[in-house]
Amino acid sequence: MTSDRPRKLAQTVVSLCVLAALAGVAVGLFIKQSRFDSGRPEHAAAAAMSFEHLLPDALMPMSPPERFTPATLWKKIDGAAEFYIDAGLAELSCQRFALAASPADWLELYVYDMAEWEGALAVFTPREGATAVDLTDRAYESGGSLFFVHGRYYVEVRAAQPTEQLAEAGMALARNFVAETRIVTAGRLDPAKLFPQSGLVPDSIRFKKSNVFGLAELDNVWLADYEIDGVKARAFISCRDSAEDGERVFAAYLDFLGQFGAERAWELLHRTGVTDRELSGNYYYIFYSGRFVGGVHECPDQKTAHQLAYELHDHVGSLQE
Amino acid sequence: MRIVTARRISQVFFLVLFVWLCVVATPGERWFQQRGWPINWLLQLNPLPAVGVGLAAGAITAGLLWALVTVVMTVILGRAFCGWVCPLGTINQAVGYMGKRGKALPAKLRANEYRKAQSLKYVILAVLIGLTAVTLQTGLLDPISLVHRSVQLVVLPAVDEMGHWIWPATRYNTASLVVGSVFGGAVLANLIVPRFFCRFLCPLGALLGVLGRFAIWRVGRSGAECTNCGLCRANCEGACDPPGQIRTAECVLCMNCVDKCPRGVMTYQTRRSLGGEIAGPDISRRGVLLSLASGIAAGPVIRLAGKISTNWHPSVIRPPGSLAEADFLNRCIKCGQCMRVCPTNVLQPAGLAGGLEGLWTPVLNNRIGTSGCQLNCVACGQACPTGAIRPISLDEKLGLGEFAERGPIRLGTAFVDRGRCLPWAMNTPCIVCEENCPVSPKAIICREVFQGVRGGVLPVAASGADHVMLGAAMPAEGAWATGDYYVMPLGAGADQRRRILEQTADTIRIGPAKPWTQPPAPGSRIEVRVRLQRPYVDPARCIGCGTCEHECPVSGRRAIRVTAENETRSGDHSLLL
Amino acid sequence: MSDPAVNNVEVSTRREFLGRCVKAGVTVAAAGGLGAYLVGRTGLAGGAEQVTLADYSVPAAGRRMAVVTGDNRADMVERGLAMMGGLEQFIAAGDRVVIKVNAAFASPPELCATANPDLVAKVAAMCLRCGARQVVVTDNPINDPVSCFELSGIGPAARRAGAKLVLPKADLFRPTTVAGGRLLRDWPVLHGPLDGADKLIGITPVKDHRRSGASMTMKNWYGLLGGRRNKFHQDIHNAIKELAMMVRPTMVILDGTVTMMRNGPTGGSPDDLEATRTMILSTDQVAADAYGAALLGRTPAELPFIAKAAAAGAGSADYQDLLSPPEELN
Repeated sequence: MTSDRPRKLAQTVVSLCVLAALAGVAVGLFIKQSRFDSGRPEHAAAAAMSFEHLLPDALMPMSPPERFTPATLWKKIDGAAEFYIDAGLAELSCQRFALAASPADWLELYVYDMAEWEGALAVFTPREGATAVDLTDRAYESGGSLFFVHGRYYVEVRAAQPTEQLAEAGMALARNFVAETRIVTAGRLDPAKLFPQSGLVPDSIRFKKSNVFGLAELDNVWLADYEIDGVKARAFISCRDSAEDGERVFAAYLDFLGQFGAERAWELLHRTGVTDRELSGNYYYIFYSGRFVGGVHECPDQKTAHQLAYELHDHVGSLQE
Repeated sequence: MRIVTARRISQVFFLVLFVWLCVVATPGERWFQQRGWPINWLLQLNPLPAVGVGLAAGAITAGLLWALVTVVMTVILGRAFCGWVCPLGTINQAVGYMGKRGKALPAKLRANEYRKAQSLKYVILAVLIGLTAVTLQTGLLDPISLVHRSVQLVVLPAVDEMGHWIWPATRYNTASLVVGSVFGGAVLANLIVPRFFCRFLCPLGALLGVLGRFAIWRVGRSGAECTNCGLCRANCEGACDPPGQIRTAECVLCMNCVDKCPRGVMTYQTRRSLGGEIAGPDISRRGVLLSLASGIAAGPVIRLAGKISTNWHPSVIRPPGSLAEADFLNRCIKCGQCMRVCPTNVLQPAGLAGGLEGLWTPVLNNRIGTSGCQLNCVACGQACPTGAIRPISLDEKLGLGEFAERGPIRLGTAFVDRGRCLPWAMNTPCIVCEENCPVSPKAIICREVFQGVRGGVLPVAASGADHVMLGAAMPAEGAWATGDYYVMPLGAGADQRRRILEQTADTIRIGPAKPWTQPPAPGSRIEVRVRLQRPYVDPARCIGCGTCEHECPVSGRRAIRVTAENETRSGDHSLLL
Repeated sequence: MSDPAVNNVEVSTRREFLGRCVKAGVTVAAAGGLGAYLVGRTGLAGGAEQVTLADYSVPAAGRRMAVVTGDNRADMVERGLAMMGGLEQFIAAGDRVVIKVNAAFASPPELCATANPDLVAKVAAMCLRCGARQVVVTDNPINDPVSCFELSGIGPAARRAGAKLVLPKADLFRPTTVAGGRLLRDWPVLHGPLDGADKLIGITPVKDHRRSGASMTMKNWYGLLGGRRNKFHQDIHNAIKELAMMVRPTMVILDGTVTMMRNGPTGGSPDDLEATRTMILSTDQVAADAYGAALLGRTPAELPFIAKAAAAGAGSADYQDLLSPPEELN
């Protein structure tokens, strides 16, 4: 048929166009399959704290975030690891940030997750020459670096160079951390309320997690220093899980002193729960009251120790009403 | 090159592509794994989900815009998608061809004659569109969803059973028989009438038939020299009566008529067919309105069963990132992609538990697969083409980083069945659930209890600092020496309790490291107790991942089971304040 | 040579072709436009507009309380209102008044688990006599609403008095968030009958409550909550506190004529009841509850929600300065 050839040509042209389209699809697919983001979820970073959302404009990341467990902590902070592990460290997350304006200036953020609020307090040790800053109720600044407690976190923002911009950026980072990080505040015993005020040496309330005074049973203890009429005394209070546990610790403490040969100094007075020991010229008072165990440890002056011990006992008793 | 050759190449191309995209839908980077392959491309090219989701949800995901390509192609060329692209169409045509082969011309003419029943698919489409007022059910009959669901969840797993090339273990599917039968039925029906599904049931074909009304090019008769040889009709895939009044909406552009006509009467042209044309679907306006109205009415009727409100089924545990149920059902096209990519095989097609609407939508079945919902995985959300499961990040799933305030996504809550749990009901130590709980801190805590054992009160015949000889029958040697059993003088306090180190037919030995302060006196009695750790679920921490249920050794009805209470996606189902 | 017949066919074909092109183009454009519009919308269901409950108190009337003893509720409430300065102090002509009753259970009035119908009828009638344009009686009961209003007698009583009974239909609920609240956030509340109302009076009996200790005027507002409100039992005292923060009524009437002393809030037996013969009216719901506690033999200290509500500023538990000696009516 005379119309055949143009028709056959038309069919061929259309067919080839279709094949070309298919070839284009194939090429497009081939390219698409080679482009993918190897989305290895950064498990380590995902499990550790992510700091991206905390950065103020002045700072940019300088190194990837790192995460250390108690087993690997020594790789980052060497011998100081013991101190944190004893206090109950869960993990350390850290990252370096540089100033966007001058990248040679950098700081490093250390976030110690101490698992428990008391643990964070246990490692918070203000050093000589530190000035308190208005960040959290336990925060100080020293040499351009910040050290503070926020809930169960103990945080250090250590500046590598003591410049003002770096200090400002570090403070902004710290404020963002405090604002963005959720902490549990309910049910927290305020240690400041634990101790009677008169004679209390300011800022001396501190927490020791374990092995207080060398006694294994004495753990999770708040310590405070007193100065009464020129005599120094150390008071301690521990909040136990139950009254039975309080009694147990009380007995263990007495046993402990007894092993060294301490003897009762005075007769046990009417006030239940308070008793005393004397050893080598030092006086030890101990009591238990409800869930609390407390006392005065190793005070050379009996009158002071006696007075302080009963004040502590009464104070703790009034807390429980 | 003949046009039908191009058509066949195109069909094979897309069928092979479809099978390949199914095979590679395994997360990974190797050549046979997903890499960057757009595994949802064919679902996205399909306009039916785009239209369905757009109507039901009032919003579509960006990927569904690929459907515009098909719409444009259909509006200009006609149902080219059906004849050149659709994998189910290709399968149907191939099986239909095999069924027709060797038959005489009259039989072929009968096979491919137009049947009034072909208007059923327009009724189906109208009902489905009417239903979008309340719920999206296009996935039930959408050919691309159907073929994905069938191949991904039934065919591939069945084939893989023979050699375990894709999965190392059996890939289960609780709806295998139903889904497989529907697919098998659709495929085998082509032996009765070629392209059975395409002609009678396919709502996508119906939609494209409607869209192709104003096609610029269409198949039709150009010259007047038709001798009525019937060769065109005998090979017509769409059963659209090419030389007569061609039904354009039924024509799938197979071009067999153009190819087979010995006189070149049939062409693909811009002019109307010389034999006349019925451009639109064979359904009256009244039929359309009636079908539409039925669909619109059916929606609220379905919802009266209360399956997404007060009568919701607690076993409907949806994948992480799923929208709340009403929104979810407005988007799920039952394609099975999420179930395909799930690495643990925990996602299964629902039966009727979630109501009629939930058929073949994904739910978790924690007994199946390798572990509940894997903690560090968000594959299902990445695979969902319509956003019924949101593409969440790992941070959002686990409640980390910027999502720390909100907390993790919960799928449900685990409940301990104390009547079945080994330490609760059977005096047997276990705590596999607590050990496997993947969140930190764990959502399962244990409380220690020392429980008396059967035949555990025994008279003492003789005793020493680290042992006691009993004057009564004891269980088989070592039965109490597993490290979980303790012995104490009957009635004594916990301080007298000692772990049993060895136990023979007549003697129980405790460790030398901690002897009794006072060995039990001969003539007195001792008691043996088993140390049990009893699991408690902490609902504030439990994310309902189902790992505990999966690991529970009570393998029939598990002693710890997840139900959908407290799932984060539904405020109504929350458990705690 | 051009054949006119063929030409005509070609012309009409061309016209048809153009027509098809135009229609095809329009379809494509519409599809594209629709696609662009639909992408990027969230298309998620829900999200009704939040409401805040209005302040229905009448500051000009001051903080008042009246206590009346006796046996006849209608007479007692009439006397009590007079002691409060007269109902006219509170209800102005043309006001739309809502009486939020306790109709929680489908329980007959003799069992005193619900507000007494005679009391409700009397108060409704008095409001209408003051010139109120409309008096609405409503509650979102625990049991089936229709049964509750009928069996408790409140429904028929309301209708007898000329008030309108509003049942808690689904479309009458709107989400609300209590400012300063932790629990009542984005929670459905029976806002429909309150919308456009001028005054709100709460009427409820004094009842023991196994979970909260007592169910009195503050707990009465629980019946305005929708949704799965049973969750709030997990933190019941704070929930009641937030209810008191949420609702600032014109007045509350705490009916202790017969008190459910035990097995509350459902009771179920006359043995649970005691005729304490006291009715308390007050503009301060905290004060009313503080006084009402005594009828149950409890001190306010034993009911933590009282101190919490007072601390939240919903009222004051100090009622001594408000009272003249209770008047006896026999």
